[in-house]
Amino acid sequence: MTSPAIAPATDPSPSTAARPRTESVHRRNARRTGSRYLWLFIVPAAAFYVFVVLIPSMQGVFFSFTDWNGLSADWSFVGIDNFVRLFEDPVSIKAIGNTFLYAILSTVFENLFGLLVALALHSRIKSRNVLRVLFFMPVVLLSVVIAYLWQYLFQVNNGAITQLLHAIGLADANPNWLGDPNLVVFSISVIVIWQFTGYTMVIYLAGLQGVPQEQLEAAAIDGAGPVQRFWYVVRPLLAPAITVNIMLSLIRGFMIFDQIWVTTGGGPADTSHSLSTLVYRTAFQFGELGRGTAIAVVLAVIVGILGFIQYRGLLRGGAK
Amino acid sequence: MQWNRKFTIGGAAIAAVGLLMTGCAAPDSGGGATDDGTFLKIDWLANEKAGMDAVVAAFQEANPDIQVVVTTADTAQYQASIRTQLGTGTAADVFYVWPGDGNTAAIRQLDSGDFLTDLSDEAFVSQYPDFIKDLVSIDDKAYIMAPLATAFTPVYNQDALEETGLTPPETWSDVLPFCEAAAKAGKVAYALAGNNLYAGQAPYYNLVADLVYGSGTDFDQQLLDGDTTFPENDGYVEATEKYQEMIDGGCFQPNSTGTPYDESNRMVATGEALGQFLIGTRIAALQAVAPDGDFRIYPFHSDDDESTNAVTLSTQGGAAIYAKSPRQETAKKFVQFLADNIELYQAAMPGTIPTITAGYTPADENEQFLVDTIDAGQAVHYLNQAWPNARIESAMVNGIQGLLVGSASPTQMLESMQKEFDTK
Amino acid sequence: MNRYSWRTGTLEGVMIVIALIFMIPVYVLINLSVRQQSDLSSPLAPTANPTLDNFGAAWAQSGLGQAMVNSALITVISVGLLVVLGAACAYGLARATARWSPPAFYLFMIGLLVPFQLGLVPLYRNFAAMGLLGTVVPLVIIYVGLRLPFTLFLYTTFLRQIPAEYEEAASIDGAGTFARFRRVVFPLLRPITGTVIILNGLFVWNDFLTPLLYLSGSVNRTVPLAVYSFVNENTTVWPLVFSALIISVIPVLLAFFVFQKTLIQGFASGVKG
Repeated sequence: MTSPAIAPATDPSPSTAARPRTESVHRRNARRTGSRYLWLFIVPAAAFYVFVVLIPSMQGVFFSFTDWNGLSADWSFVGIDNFVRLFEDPVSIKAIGNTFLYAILSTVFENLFGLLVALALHSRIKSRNVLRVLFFMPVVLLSVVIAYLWQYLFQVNNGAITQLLHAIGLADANPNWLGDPNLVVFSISVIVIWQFTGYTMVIYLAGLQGVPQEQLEAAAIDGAGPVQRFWYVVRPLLAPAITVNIMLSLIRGFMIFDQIWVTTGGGPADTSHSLSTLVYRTAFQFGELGRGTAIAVVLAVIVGILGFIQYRGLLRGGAK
Repeated sequence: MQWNRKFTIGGAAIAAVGLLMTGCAAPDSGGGATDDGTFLKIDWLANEKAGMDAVVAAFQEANPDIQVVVTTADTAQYQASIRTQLGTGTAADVFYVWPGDGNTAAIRQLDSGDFLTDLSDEAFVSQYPDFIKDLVSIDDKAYIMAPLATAFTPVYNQDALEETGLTPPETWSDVLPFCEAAAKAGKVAYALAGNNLYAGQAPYYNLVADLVYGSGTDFDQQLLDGDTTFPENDGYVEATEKYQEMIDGGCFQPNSTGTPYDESNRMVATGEALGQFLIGTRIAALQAVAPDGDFRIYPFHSDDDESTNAVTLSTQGGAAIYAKSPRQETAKKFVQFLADNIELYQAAMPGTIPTITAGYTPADENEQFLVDTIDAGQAVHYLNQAWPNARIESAMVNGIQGLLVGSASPTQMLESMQKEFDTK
Repeated sequence: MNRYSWRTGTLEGVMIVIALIFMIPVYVLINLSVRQQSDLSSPLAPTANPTLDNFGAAWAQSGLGQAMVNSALITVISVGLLVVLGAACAYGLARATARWSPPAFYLFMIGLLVPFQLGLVPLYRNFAAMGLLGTVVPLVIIYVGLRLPFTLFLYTTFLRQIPAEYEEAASIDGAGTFARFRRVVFPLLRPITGTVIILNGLFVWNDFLTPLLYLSGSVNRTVPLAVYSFVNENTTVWPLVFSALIISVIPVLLAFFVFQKTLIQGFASGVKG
């Protein structure tokens, strides 16, 4: 196949130089799809997207190379200073590590729990509809208030969670859930996992709608145990749901903000920051918009790389 | 098929009509772009809403023609949005700002853009005590009608004190013994809501006041001139080390970094803890948990030298007028009204006193303490009000949490503050 | 296998226990919301003298009624636009075979990965320059732009599963592109549209950061803003705060309970791609 000039999505009439070849491609497409007006379907949506996401993000990238304070009219270029400072600052290094930790912990456990719950509720048990609503309930609560609620539950000394530990016989246990630098990231991850297990559950339940009972039964008759049945029958059919869920969980995990901001504000001693909370603190609390957007750029690059890897996985999964 | 067509068209129609409706509704931009004396918009801090509501109600009664719209946000959100709004010309006519420096919505950090109307000629400015006048001014131009002043002090549960028979320490040599005695009585001396990033600064402000500012405020200029640094300043070093001593001496409950305010308040209200270092405005929350409790401020000094007694007492902030607002006259009218009716504002905000104390009668012992402090000339501004960026305060509060969890030493904490001071 | 065996019974018992543990935070939420404000007993202990007064007070003080109207309006319009624009755009992208189609699709997908904070302030200034601030219009525009990548992701993966034969049949009948989209494709998209509506609806209803900046200083508050400022005005008065929270989620929970079957089926068709 020859390679014709690429016509921009929004331009129905390509430049004169490329016209003969391009037009023939257009006509061919038109014949195949029955329409040459498909770009008209895209333009309105693209306009919103370009205005809201692309242009401002590019402006943001631009400002990440400046010392703009978000307020005054003047600013100057500082080259890559903002990025250099980011990678020299122990707080942001810690935050990068935390961001990965939040993302990995929440992705693994949201999906593990969500899948198990979905498998259990994709059964004949009578209360399944009610239970589905119960597990889904946290998803509809506001993140901010879930964070407040858990801050209350996680209180040291006599918070509800600690009282529960006492009730099950761990009388001396008194973890400093949100105040211990070694524990705080895990505690906050618990909040996120609790909040989104229902989300992954619903998507897994949906994926399970496509798993025919007969196939499971046939496997059972062949003497396959539950683990084998899951691995050889359910898992391949659930692959798309797993990919979608992991992608959504990862993106959520990398962007985590509300739960940290409300429960610890990044503390104690700057040990629970994610990149998102650092962006917010730097750009808005410190009034250093240039530096804040530089952190956002780093976050975008990290998520972009992972998203790309995931998306390739998704394509491969979808090709099956 | 029929249904789907209807669905599509109907959906699109609803969306279009709705968009038009909301576009037309646009009620809050009301009042137009000129000052016809009928509209005023105020953007205020959520935790001072009660005071503002009281003044606005009176203002509306006195000026029934003026429609006043008040919106509020909490501190962090407020600081985040106000700069963006100022920069884009969308800020309210009257808005809350902080005096001095140290955070992004303090007047010295907003100075660059001519956003604030000069209020120097308003009558209330001359009535301020000198140190407040300095804080609300830049180059002798005053910008804020700051209604309230309050202090960082220890607040004690009087009943719990009486039950244990202990007397609050007023000089440093009594502090650690007090903590020990409290522990012996099965109590915590001071509850600390260390889960809140900013709670740990209350004890620190008390420690720094005497040791750094007890003999004058020269430190601020020396720091700016590079003649001293946080880790080289004897006062700061001693104050930070004394904080460490208090932590090591068991003055605060263990695991304090996991304690939010409602838990620390509960501890003090129930007498599990004898007291708590607080900013005055937080006494109300303590009182709400125990309506019958008797919570009192006692002086606290970080050395034994009476001549260096100082208390961190200042104004948190107040009303500024947006210089780009078309409603300058109405805004000034309101600000003057606020100044004339400070007592309305103050009455809704327990634990504070008016910045203009002429003719003011304190309502209780706590307010009396604040008034006496001002009268004795012992008031010192909040530490960050002299700092050129917000990162220093952040380094301080995170450094304090570092002391509490044992991950930072006093020297490290002061060095990190200095590092943020030195970084542009 | 189709009967309710003892295994199923065991599973049911286990799941109920797990759900009860999972619900402890919600139990605390409800338990505290019916508590007197001065009651300092353990959050786990059932409230001795339950009262519904907090709900009345929360409703009266928080302005949640007006906020719900605002949020509902914003949500309905944004989601409506997302469905219409998203489905159309996905159709265009999925059916176009031109060279620009894959890059255009990837360009949209970038939006899934960009942290919104990156463009938050520039976008605000752009709106200000256009004089669009002070209303909920910017919010609607933002939600449509912001959620399009996700919407397109769902729609295009779904559309690629639909054989083009349906449309070809219609085109033989002489229907034009637009008619085909409206009469053939859009109805076929119905299951996934349910998912699009619910997930975007949840996002818009619960979003906090955008209205925070865009409606700050406005009287048009959304539910998250109303709840949040109520929390700030009543810090540590948990009974009031939790009552307000419960009020704020009732509409969404009811909707979920009613639509859960449709939702799950919608998801089902959505994630097979």
